[in-house]
Amino acid sequence: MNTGIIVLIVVLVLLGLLVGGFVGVYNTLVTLRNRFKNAFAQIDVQLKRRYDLIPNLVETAKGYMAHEKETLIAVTEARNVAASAAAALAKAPGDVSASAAFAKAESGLAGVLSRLMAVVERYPDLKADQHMARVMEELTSTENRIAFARQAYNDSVTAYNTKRELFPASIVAGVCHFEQAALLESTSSEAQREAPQVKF
Amino acid sequence: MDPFALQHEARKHVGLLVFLAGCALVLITAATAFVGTFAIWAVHFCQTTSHARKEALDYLAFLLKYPEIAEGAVVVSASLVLGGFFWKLFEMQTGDALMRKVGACRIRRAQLSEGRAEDVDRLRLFNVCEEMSIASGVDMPSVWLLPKETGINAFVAGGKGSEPALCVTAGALRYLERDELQGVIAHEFSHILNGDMQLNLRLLALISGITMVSRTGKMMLKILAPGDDGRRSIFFPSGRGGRRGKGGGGVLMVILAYLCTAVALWIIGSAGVFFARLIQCAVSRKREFLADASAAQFTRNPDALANALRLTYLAEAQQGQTTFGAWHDDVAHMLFTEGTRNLFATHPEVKDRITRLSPGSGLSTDERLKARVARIRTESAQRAARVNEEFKAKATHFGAPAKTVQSPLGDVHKLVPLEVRRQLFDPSVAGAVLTALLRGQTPSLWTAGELKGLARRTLAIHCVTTICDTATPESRRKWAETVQAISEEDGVIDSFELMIGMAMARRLDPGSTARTVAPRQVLDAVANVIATVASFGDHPSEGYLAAEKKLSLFGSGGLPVMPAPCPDADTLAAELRKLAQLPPLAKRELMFGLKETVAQDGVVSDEEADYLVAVADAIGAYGWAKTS
Repeated sequence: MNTGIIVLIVVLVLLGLLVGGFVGVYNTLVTLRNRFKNAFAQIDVQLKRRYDLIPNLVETAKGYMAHEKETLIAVTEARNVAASAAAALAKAPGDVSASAAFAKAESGLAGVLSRLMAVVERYPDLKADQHMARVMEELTSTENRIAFARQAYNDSVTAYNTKRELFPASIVAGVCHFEQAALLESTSSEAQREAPQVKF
Repeated sequence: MDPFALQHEARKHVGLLVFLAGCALVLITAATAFVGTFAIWAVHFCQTTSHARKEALDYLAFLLKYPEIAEGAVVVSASLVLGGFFWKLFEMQTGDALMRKVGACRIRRAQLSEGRAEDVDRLRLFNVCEEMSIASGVDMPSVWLLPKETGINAFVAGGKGSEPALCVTAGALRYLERDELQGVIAHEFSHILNGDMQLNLRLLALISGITMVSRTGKMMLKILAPGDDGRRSIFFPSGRGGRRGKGGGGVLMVILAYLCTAVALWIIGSAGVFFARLIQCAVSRKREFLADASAAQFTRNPDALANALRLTYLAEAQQGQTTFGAWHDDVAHMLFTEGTRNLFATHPEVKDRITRLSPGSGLSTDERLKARVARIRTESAQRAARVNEEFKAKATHFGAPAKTVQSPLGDVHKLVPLEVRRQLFDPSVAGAVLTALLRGQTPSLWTAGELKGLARRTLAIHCVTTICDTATPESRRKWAETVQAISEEDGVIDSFELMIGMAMARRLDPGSTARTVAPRQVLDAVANVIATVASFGDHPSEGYLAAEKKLSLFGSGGLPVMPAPCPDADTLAAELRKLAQLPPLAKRELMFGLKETVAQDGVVSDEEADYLVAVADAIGAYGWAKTS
């Protein structure tokens, strides 16, 4: 057996390993990318859930909260604004002004909702009402889900970004155009980060 | 601490431990094979004549000379160990089966009807699980609740191939705050995500494989010992035959080799199991840290999880821990916390876990936590006192007649006058009376005042019996059709009509009881029937629950959440047909349960009594209604 054949075999084996490694890394990157895309879709699903829930909440609370009409009206209005902003964004995805409006509407809604939840604490009748307890539980859960969906999105984006920047994957990412993905920033302003003030 | 760093820390060494466990399996197999060949060699050595002994002394040479013995020993011991391994691997139930065994009931979103306080709790549990499913990216497992377990705990079961199941105790639902519950659920989700169930299953299978070796040794010893019933063992057949033949010394040698082999196998197996368990528990403890770390990542709230741990630890420090009886081994590694603290602990020390989650805090408590711990302790003390009292009450009442509930059917000889009974011998008269009763009229031959309640029911059933016992098959069928037609005249079938229909159907076609179903499989049908009967009481939900204490054969999880009563007689009849296949003892229990249901509000109304008789006839609980 001459050296030429041996060299050829060695080269072929190395080439095979290289191609195999390339395919493996490529597949991992695709998996990670799909994962964070799915996580992004989850956020939308949960926001929709919140819009659907709010009318129910307002309807239940109405009977007990005669003196808090403004809060309830504010919640309903904020919900409508946010829902229409979401619809506008869905029509023009990626539009800067639409997404800014959406972010503003969302943070406004989150603000009034937390105010409402604080107000409910003041009505023992309302808190004891089974139906209200259910709606409040659903609302708490929805707020959590939105937060967790954002968090899961950010986690998966981070995993993806880290993978595509680390050594062997960075080559594959460069060749196959795996772009850097953006993290979600918190939409709430400084004021909303603070717990709502409840005055008696 | 950063959750990602925590995870990295916890992942270390697990691979090494699993590798060690695999090595243990191989070593045990080799040791078993060695013992087998050595025993054969020893026997062979003793049987060789003295001048050939020198040659036979070499064990290795013996193996080389007879390679088939070595091969055979390896094959036998490998198949023994692997047999035990795979047997356990396939014997492990799916998550759902295990949950039913420990008596958990499944929670579905659709079943969370409005208006009950505990439903909000269950809704919260379900929601928290869905939240964690979003946060962790793990598919939603089936959610179960252990309704009677008051300790704070949770576990997951099931693995590849079957949907994972997540179970939470009622105590966890009651005492943990929302964010703490979230931490506990997140911990369980991490077990699912990290594939701990599969890992644990494999380790359990490995232990089972090693156990086979020690079992074989034990069994070999058992065969040798004479049985209790005077049966002789294989080596000492019986009576005089024991010392037949001339090779007495050889037989003794074989017995000795056999004994040594058995003992050696037993020791090897036991030692193997000991070390395998050590490894398994070490793996499990590592995985607990990992699960805690992942939980911290999902909730971003390690303090809540630490709080849940603290609460559980303090509240249960002085009491018995949650145990799951015979299934403890299968679920121990997936529990949230566990009491044992030694080399065989499946969970790390609670203090360690807390320190890793929120460094520097340890078991220190604030006033609020102390108050909550105190509440849990008081409630559990009260519960213990109540159980004690109930036991005492039962003990004093033992043998005394139970609370009397008026029987739904009376003695026809006392309730129906003799002359009426005489006329009823004629099936056509009985049929006419039955027709009148079904139409809500008082039959003309009844002269003893108003006919209602017990007497009416008893008379009606008596008529049915007469018709079915005496009429020709042709006219029997005709009567059955007539009853059906009259019952449907007004569009609805009321309880009385249902009772007559069921009584008729049972007497015309007693049906075959050859096929039986397991009580647990028809639990939904049982719940529907009880709920239907309970809906006629003053307090339907209390009545429904009253039946529960009589039902022991229907799984320890008790009845599911009360379903809506059956909307019409056809639905009820369909459910009852399912129950007709119950084993006799289960039927009896069901009837006693229903009796509690109707007796719950203190009065047995006509509808309730009708339903009792109808159910007894429909499921073929013969003679129950009269004798009790």
